Amino acid sequence: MLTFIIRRFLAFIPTIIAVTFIIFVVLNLLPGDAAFVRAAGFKRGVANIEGIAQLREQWGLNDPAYVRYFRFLGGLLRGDLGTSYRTDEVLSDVIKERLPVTLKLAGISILLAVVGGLTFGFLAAIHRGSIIDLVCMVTAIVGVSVPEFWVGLMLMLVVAVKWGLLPTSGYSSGNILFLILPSLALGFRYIGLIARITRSSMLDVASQDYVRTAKAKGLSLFSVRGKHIFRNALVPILTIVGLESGWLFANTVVIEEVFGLPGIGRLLVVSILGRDIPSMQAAILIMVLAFLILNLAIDVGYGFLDPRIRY
Amino acid sequence: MSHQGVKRFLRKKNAVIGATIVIMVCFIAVFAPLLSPYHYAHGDLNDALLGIGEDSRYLLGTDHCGRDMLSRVLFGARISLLVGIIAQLANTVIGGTLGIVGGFYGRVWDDIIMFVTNVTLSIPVLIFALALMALLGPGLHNLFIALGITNWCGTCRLARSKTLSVKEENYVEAAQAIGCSNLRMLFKHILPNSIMPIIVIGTLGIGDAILIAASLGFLGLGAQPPLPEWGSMLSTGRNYFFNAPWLSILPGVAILVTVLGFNLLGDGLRDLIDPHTKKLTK
Repeated sequence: MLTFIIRRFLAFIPTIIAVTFIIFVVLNLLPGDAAFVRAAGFKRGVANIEGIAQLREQWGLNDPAYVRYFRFLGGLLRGDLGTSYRTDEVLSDVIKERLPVTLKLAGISILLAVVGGLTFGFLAAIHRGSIIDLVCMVTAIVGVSVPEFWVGLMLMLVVAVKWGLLPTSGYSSGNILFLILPSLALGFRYIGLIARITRSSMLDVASQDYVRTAKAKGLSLFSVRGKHIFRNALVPILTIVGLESGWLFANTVVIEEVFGLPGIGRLLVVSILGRDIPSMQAAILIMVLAFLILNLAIDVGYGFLDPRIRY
Repeated sequence: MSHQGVKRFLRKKNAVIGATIVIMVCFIAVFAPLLSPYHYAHGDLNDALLGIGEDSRYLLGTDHCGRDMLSRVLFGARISLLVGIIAQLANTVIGGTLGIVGGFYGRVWDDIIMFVTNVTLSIPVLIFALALMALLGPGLHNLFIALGITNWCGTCRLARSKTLSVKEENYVEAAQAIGCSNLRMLFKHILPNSIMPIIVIGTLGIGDAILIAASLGFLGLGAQPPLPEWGSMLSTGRNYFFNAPWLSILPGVAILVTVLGFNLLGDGLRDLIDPHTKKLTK
C-alpha cells in the first residue's frame, strides 16, 4: 500500500512539471505589458518610461523566457509563488487566505452531493419504477445540463430574495450560512450524477453471486443492502467523484463570482482581467494540485473499500 | 445505422425527446431571422426593461436597451450551436487522430501521446479555456479555438482503447499478412471500425462545450455584446437581477433545454452502440 502511494506520488512529478510548463507558456505569451499597465495606473493614466523600466527590472521581465521559467520553478520548490503584479502582495499569503474559502465551498458541495446522491440513488434502486425513481432520473439528466451559475442565481432569487431564508451573497469566515446556497448550486450536478450511478451500480451489484450467497445464508435484508450491496456500489461512485472533481473545482470560479466569495476562483478572474500573470499562475496551479491530490486520495480509497483491489 | 438500429433508437423515449429538441434548436438557429420579430441588436430605449407579457409587441419582455428578449434568445441558439459543434468537431479530430495513432503505432508514440493526454486532463477544461481566452482575448472566434483544443482527452483515450481492440481482430492480422501498408490499414480497417464510438462521445461533448462557453460568456471572456450569447446575456441580466429577473431566467432556460437535448441524444446513441452501458443503466 505504502509503496503504491509513493509510486503514485512520484508519477505526479513529471505531470506537475509539464503543467507548470504549459501554464507558464500560455500565460507568458499574454499580449500587453504588465509593467506598462501598472505604471500607467500609478501616474493617473500617464506611464513614464523610467517607471516602466524600473518595474520590468524589479519583476525580472528583461531576462530571457527560460530563465524566468526556471526561476518560477525554483520559487515553487521553496513554496514561493511570487508577488502580485497588481497589488504587490506576496502570493503565498494570498493563497493561504483564499484557499480555505474555496476548499470549504468544494468540500461542502462534494459532501452534499455524496450524501444527497447516495440517498436518492439508494431509494431509487429499492423502489425501482416508482415516483422517487423518476424524480431521481430526471434530476440526474437536468443536473448535467444546467449551468451552475444559473442554478446559483435561481437559488438566490427564490431562497434568499423571495423567502429571505439565507444571505444573498458575501462571506464571513465563521458563518457557514453564506456557503449553503453556493454549495447547493455547485453540488447540484453531482447529486444527480451520483444518484444515477448509485442506482445503476446497486442494481448491478444486487445480481452478483456474493449477494445471493449473503441472502442464502439468511442475512437480514438490511444487512445485505447495507454491508454487501452498498459498500460494493461505492467503488464506481468514488470513481465518478474523482473524474468529475475537475469540473467541480473549475466551476468554483463561476460560483464564487455569482456569490461574491473571496476564494481562489475569484482571484483567477480578477487577475485575468488585470493581466496579473503571477496571480493567474498561482491560482491555476493550486486548482490543478487540488484535483490531482483528490484523485490520488481516491485511488488509495479503492483499496479500503474493495479488498479485491490490490496494488 | 441499420433499419434495426433505427427501430431500437425510436424505442428509447429519452433519445427521441433529445433528438426532437436538437432538431428544434437547429431549426430555430437556421431560421432565427425569420422567426424573430426583431433583429437581435435592435433596441428602443423607450421600451427598456418591459416585463414578460407587459407589452404585446414584446412577448418575453425587453432588456435594459429595450431589445426584444425573444429575438435575442432565438438568435442566441445560433451562437451556442456553432460553438458547441465547431469546438466538438475540433476536439473529435484532435482526440481521434492522437488516440488512433497512439493505439496503432504503440511504443514511444503511445507513451508520448498518453503523457500529453494525462497532463492536459489534469488541467480542468474550464480553467484551461479561461487561460487561453485571457491569451487570445474575448470573442467568438477565439472561443472556438479555446474550446476546440482543450476537451479532446476523453475522445483520445476512447479512440486509443478502441484501436487497441480492433488491432487484435483477425481481419487486421490478415491485412498485415498480405502486406498492406500501415496507412492503408489505418484508413481501410482501423478508422472505419472505431469511428462510431468516437462520433458518439463527440456528440455527448457538445452539451459540455455549450455549458463551458456559457460560463466563459458569463465571466465576460466569451462572445462579446451585442452578440446575444446566452451566458453573457445572463451576466448583463445580473445587473437588473432584482427588478428584472426574467433577463436572467430566460437565457438560462434556453441553455438548459439545448444542453438537455444534446445530452439525451448522446445518451441514446451511446446505449445504441454500447450494449454494456445499456445493461448498467436499465
